[in-house]
Amino acid sequence: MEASTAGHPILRLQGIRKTFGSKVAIDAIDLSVAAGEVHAICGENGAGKSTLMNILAGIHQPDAGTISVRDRDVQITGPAEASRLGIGMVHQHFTLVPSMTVAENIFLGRQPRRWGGLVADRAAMRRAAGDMIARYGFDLRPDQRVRELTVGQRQRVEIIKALAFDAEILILDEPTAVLTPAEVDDLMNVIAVLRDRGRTVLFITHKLREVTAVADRVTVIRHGRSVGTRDTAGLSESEIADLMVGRAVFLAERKQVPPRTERGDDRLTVTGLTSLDGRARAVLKDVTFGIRPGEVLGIAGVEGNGQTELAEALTGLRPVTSGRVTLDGADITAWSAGRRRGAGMAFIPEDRLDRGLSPAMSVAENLAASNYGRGGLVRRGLISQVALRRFAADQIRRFDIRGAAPETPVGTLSGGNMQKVVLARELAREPRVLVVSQPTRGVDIGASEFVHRQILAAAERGCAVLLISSELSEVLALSDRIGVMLRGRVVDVLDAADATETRLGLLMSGGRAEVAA
Amino acid sequence: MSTTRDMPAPIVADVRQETRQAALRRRARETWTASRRPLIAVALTLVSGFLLVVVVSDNPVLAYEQLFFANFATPANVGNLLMRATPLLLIAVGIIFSFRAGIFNVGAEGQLYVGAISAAAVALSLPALPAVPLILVSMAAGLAAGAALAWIPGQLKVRFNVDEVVTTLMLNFTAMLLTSYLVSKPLRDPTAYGATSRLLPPQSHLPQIPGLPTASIGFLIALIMVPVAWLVLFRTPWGANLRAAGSNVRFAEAVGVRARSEIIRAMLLSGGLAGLAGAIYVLGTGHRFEQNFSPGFGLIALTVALLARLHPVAVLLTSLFYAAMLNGAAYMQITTDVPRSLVSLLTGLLVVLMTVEFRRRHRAKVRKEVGA
Repeated sequence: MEASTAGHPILRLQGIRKTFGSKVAIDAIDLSVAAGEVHAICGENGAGKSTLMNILAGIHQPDAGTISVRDRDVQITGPAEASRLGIGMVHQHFTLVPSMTVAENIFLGRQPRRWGGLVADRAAMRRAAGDMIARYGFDLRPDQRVRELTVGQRQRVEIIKALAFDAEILILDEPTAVLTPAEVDDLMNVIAVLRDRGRTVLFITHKLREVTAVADRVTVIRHGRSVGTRDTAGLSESEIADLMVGRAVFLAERKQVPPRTERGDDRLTVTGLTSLDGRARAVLKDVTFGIRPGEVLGIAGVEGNGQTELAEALTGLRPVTSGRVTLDGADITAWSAGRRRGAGMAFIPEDRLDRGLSPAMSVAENLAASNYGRGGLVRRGLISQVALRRFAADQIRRFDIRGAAPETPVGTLSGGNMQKVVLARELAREPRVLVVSQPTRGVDIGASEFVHRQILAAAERGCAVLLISSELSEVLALSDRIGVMLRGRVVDVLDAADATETRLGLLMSGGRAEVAA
Repeated sequence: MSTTRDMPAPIVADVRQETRQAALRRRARETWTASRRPLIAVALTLVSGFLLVVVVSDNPVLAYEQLFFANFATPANVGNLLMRATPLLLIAVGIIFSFRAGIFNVGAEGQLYVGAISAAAVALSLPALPAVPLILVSMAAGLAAGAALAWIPGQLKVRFNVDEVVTTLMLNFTAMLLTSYLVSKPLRDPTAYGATSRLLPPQSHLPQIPGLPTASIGFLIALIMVPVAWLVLFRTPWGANLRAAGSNVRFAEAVGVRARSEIIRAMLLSGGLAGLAGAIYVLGTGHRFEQNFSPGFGLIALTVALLARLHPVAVLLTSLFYAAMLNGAAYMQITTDVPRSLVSLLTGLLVVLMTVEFRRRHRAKVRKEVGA
């Protein structure tokens, strides 16, 4: 059903189909984008979003179907043709040269020239870049080197780069995957500005909050088919989720828990924990809390307020200056990461490609890392290949890790499935304490749901869970108590019953105001 | 395997236990993809080398025949081939461990030299010991000396984050100047010309392989290292930890691997094997320490290891290939008008072609990522 509020379509796709070998990436996509709207494309990982965008950007050619731009049927034969048609794309992974300036990056390969085209006209280039930055009100300077910019700023450079050549239709491929929450807010403002300037924005995402926050309409695709286009006004997040997954989704809910007093002593206690960084600034200041068996303590906060450091300090990856950490009453402050793991601590790090996995190694080896001691994987000093394969195959099945065989290099899996590998490895240890950081970042809804269920299940088995997340909804849904981190401190710990989004937001944003000052 | 599934899973990947046949097929496929590119590089090197020989030589076919096939003409030639392959193989296996652990030991030449001179010094100072203990003690001395020299850059790396490529390379000069001093003063044979030590006591000489003159049982020791290294790297938890540390240190730390100790251990092993190679050369081939005994084994072994793509089984083939070139060069120079320096050219060309391959692969990968 076409929504009635849509204006005249600037871009229209009908029956687009694309196969790679025997794999059908896109089966039948219909899409109609009205001029001047913000149109979200929503779907789970692997639903065909990226393939669709690559077709629009001229990187892939469709096998069937028609594309029309401004009522004219077109063949987008390559990126140059896409750009000529006024389609600009901002890729998820940036394509900037870090050592060059903002202006140089914007005009890379197409610098204004003078003296018969022999010399780049740097002054004109800087001026043009400055004009564009001013037009969209971005906090950039043409002479800044890209390597000095934050991720959010780099993305704005990409956006300007795409707009520099009169792109009327701007495609943003999962633009928020790499951004911190504050930067996401900025991006939402940027998109609003773009719309006010008459651009059409196609916004690919699987985060429902962003769809309802910024898009006028949303098209949901599932298994390579477009399953519907809706106005976002009055549309709820769970309605979109149901469309994406094709069934009713369990958006994680707080479990019914016995009151805190019935669960005995704290399993993990943290007292006065303080840690300095390389420049002797305190990144953790006097952090104190305790977690009982079966309890989920959520840590909310704007990213960069010490959450990363807290997780590292607890797992033995960061030295602490003072304070104490105990596990079951034993002082583990001076223990190594390996010894802590041996005592029953498990860790799901915030960045799976950084600390969570070794992308070049196989799924089996990633699952088995630090688990060699258990399950009879090692016989007479040697790893039994049969046992290793069986162990890996078991985990793949139990955790529904898709597209994986034991010997698949783990780096070839999708984000959600990589996260499941990390989860499977850490939960296979039957941990007594689980430290989990940003468990669903860059993970699609279906997998997020699964991850949440697994975390809650671990808690129900009596594991003490520390859940660090910048997604407030996640913290609120899973935690029994919620602490807020601000500039290295845990400023307050609320019972989940008393915690509301507004209250937590207030605690968190107090920090933001201070940082800005 | 049970037919029921305990989880509702719509699109579960096929994770049945693979059959023995399927596993073999997969292995074969993997081996082929891994070895295809080095093989192409070797083939291109040989072809362009031949074109070069055609230009400079009256009898290019004979020259190439001498370069590669004269190695197998007589048992003595085969013995020489194995004698040259021994240090290459031992050093390259050590280098594989260090590179797999993510620390780039390019100081094998120095470690080889201190290993050689320590073995010689021990053998010379204990002439009363019977054969077996003397050989074992000398070998242990070589191994320990090489390991000790490699321990220094390992510690510098772990404690102060000093670039190990610089330190290991610089220590090569330190080591060789040290041995040069030792062999010119305290260990010098006063009756001999040049910087050579006195002859080692006869019972310290390694036995020859029967039927292959000049090849000592040192080659067998090197040969045993191949399956052992493979087992350690790919079939023990320690090997898995070492590779984890090498492929992603921060991951290794997070799963409880002590990356620092892995680096130190890999350096000790790598330096130790280079030192052992020196000891075996002195005990099995030279029977005395000579300052110029190595034609650059340490550096050649680096290319040997890289051409084998850091695989301890493939390294057996690549070390034999390089040894054949080193050895065959002599026969070629004697028999034909092609100078032996052709081999330096060929080895250089091979390095270039390997890097060309690598960069091309790298770009193809980038293109794929952008296109994906």
